[in-house]
Amino acid sequence: MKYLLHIFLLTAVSLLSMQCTKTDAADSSFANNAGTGTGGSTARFTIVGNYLYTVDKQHLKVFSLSNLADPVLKNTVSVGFEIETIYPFKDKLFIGSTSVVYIFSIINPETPEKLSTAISPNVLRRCDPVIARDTVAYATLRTNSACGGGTQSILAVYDIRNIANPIQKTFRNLQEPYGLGFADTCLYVATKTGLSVYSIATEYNPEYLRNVRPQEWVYDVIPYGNTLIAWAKDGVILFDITNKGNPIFITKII
Amino acid sequence: MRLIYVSLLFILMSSCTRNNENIQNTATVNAYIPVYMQLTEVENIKVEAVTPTVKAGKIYAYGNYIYQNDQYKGYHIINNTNPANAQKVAFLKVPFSTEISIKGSFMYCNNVSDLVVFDISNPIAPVLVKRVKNAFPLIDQSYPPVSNTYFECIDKSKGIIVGWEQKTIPAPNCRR
Repeated sequence: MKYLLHIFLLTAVSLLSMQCTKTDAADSSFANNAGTGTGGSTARFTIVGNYLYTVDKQHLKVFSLSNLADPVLKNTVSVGFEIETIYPFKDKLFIGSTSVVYIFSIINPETPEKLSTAISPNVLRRCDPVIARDTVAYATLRTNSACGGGTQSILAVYDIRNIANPIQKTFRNLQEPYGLGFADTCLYVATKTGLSVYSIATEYNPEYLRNVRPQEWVYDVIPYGNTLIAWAKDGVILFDITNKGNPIFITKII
Repeated sequence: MRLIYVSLLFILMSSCTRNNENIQNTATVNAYIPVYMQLTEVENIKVEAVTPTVKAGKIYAYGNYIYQNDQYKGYHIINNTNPANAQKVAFLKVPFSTEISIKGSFMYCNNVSDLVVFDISNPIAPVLVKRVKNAFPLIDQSYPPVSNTYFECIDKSKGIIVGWEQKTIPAPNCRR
């Protein structure tokens, strides 16, 4: 009996650890980003170190923030067409467009250099917020009337160990996804029908855990300590994510 | 470079035509309507009392505060010190703003084609400290964002066009 109990406990513990656990490597920010706020995956502005990077439909702009009160435009880089989002990851910028994800190096902060382009074989035209962690990048590829037509929407998983050649490892089908974010080993995807939670303990193989608040149309998320801040169609929703795999509704600000 | 200009010119020329055939047509269609703003209105930035969210936009977190854009209007400032009791504490009116980023008590936003900087040392009373003119030259707004659609012809006396909205109206005279 004791033996069985042991097996049960071990199984329970390993299941729990497969869900969403603390990892030390999950911090996507620069050490010198102290004092910088946090945006969502659908942002067009981001700050890395002493620079503000912005994207419009076609261009990436670099503003020096050496004097925080007096930003100075340093560079304008032509990226592509229909640019929608920018996401900082270590010394890289991931730039999402309606067709591809562009990866830029900002080793030289004032002269971003294009390293590669990630294309999904599954969806031809879509809206692409993208986030990255260590050796993996996640993007939601949404197709609807505003984003190229079609009906297939996916969560795409890219191996970015070789940043010059991102490879799509797998994908998950889901209903009309928008922005996304992660905390520890959990991935949160904003969708038209609530917040979908995946375990990314196995980074290239997201495991669907649950969907919460299916009545809410959610556009983006910011995991912020033990709180998940969500942009809902009619305001802000806060979730308690003390247990990362099980967001609990706290309040809605409308 | 010359090729790009020629191509642009060609696109501009081919994209907007007067739709004379439909002048007599009273049937309603789904069309794009320009959203105008006067320059004086564009730069009318101020802190206002809390207000209900109309068109919820992007979110941003900094310290104990959450900022939510109200599309084309400004930012709801939310005190999140205690998430269970998070509440709006002010509204920062920034016409036609959609993007925000913050570092070290300075907040950066777009304001139509300008980059504006606020000192947010006092979170409920941001102070405009800098305007970088024409940091984001407007994309050509002289026609709607999609092709193959009707749109209400532009009247420049109404101000600059800051966006387009869709409405069902009697077939207008312009088509792209």
